[in-house]
Amino acid sequence: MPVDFTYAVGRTRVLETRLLDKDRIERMIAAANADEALRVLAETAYGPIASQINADEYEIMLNARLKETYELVRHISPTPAVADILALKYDFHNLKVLLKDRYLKQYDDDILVKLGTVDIEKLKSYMQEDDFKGMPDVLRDAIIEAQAAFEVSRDPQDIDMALDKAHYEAVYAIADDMHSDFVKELFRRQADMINIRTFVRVKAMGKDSRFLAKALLPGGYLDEAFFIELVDQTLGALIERLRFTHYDGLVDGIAEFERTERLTAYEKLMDDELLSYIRDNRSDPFGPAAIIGYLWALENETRIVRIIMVGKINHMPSDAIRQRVREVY
Amino acid sequence: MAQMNVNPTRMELTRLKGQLATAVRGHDLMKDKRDELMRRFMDLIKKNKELREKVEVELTEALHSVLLARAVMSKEMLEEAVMYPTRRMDINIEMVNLMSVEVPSIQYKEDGSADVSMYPYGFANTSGELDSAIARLHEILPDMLELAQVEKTCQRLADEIERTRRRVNALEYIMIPQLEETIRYITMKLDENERSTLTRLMKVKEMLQERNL
Repeated sequence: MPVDFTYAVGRTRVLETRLLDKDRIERMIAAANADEALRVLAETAYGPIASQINADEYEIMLNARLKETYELVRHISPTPAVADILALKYDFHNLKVLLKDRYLKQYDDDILVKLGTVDIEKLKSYMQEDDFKGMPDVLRDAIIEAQAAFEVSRDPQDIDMALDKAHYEAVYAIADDMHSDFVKELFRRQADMINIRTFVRVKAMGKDSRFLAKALLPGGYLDEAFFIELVDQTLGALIERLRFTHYDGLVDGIAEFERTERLTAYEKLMDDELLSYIRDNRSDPFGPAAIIGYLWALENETRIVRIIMVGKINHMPSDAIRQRVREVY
Repeated sequence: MAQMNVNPTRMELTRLKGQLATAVRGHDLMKDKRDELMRRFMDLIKKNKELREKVEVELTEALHSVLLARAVMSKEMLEEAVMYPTRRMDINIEMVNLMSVEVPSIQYKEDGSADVSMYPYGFANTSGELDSAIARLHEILPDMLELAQVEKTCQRLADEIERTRRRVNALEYIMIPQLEETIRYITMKLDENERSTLTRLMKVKEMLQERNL
């Protein structure tokens, strides 16, 4: 039976209006220093926390905002899946930390993120007791696989890569359960865009196709063969091939990388393209699109605020910040 | 110039003359040492300057990349990405003797098999900026180690030059003049004694002659 999202969509319509708009972001960018930029947030949803912290504690503010939004979305939506599908990345992040930690044996608590679907205390005790029974299946399978990969190679990168793959598999599984074409499409596109970026990075590192295959995420429209074929060719070839796909809008970013060896432009385009895809679909009043869209937009917004705050704290010129700031919802 | 508080005896004189000879020889040696130290120091300082400029330029670039990566990734994700390094540097610091100054000599060996990637993170949740930051930092580490070595050597040499110069000056302006002064004083005192003895003898002789008449 399809889940009814109408109520939740209605609530998110109101929440959407509380997202930061372009003007306010422009004011933050134009602010003379980090404190000023933080003050711009005073009359927004960030206000209550923004007024209590110093400029360099902006991460606390962003985390609190994310946490409260995830809780709210879980509360209003008929199924937790809409929040879970985005929160899974935090679970996988925590798994990476805990797993690496197990091999490194130096405990560092404060890089765990409390936004995941599984409570971090539980996650910690599973890991400490080496008893994964209570864990959700996807996480358990992922961790066993990542562990196996690491035992063979002793390369921590394998932990990340195995978990990244498992992460996307888990996301597709949730998307399938939701029976929403929009959600499936969204994450497949994201995987593709990340894979294009991975391809560019792997090529810049001078690694071979075997390494590339390990690093690529599953489930995108552009499959492994597509990239493997291009490994020995120039980036120009990649650009030519992408011109006839959804990802036409990203080629400028790759061209920029060829010139400057920086992926800054590509990463911005990537976020903007995904956001614009979400924006195009948010009007659906019955599906989960609007709710996922809202969460996505909020995460995007925290990224924008972070870029500005980091920039301001480190005295980056306003123009340099503006170049990197993402579009708003 | 102050003279030393000594008894004006012949024995003291011999002792002081010996001391003076040693002081003069020591002074020459010290001066040579100072000049040689200076020469080495100049070479090193030039190298130091070059290295430092190079490292500073590269480090600025690298930290700029880190900053950019930091801007687009959350603190937690960035730290997770780099929490488990795949490369280890074994650093061995030995002390070697350079003109009787103990200076460090840093030997390093990169540990970590070549088939393990030097980027210890996956690519899905990390920014491309991080790659260039890691690559640059990896590249400049040897230069930074060399800089550390050269800079410490320069510091030690500078200390030693300072100390040597003070010794040279002490010898040149205090020790040697003082010895010379004292030697002159003793010599004069002895001469004076001799003259008075002579006069006394002459007087005695005169008196004896007068009595014999």
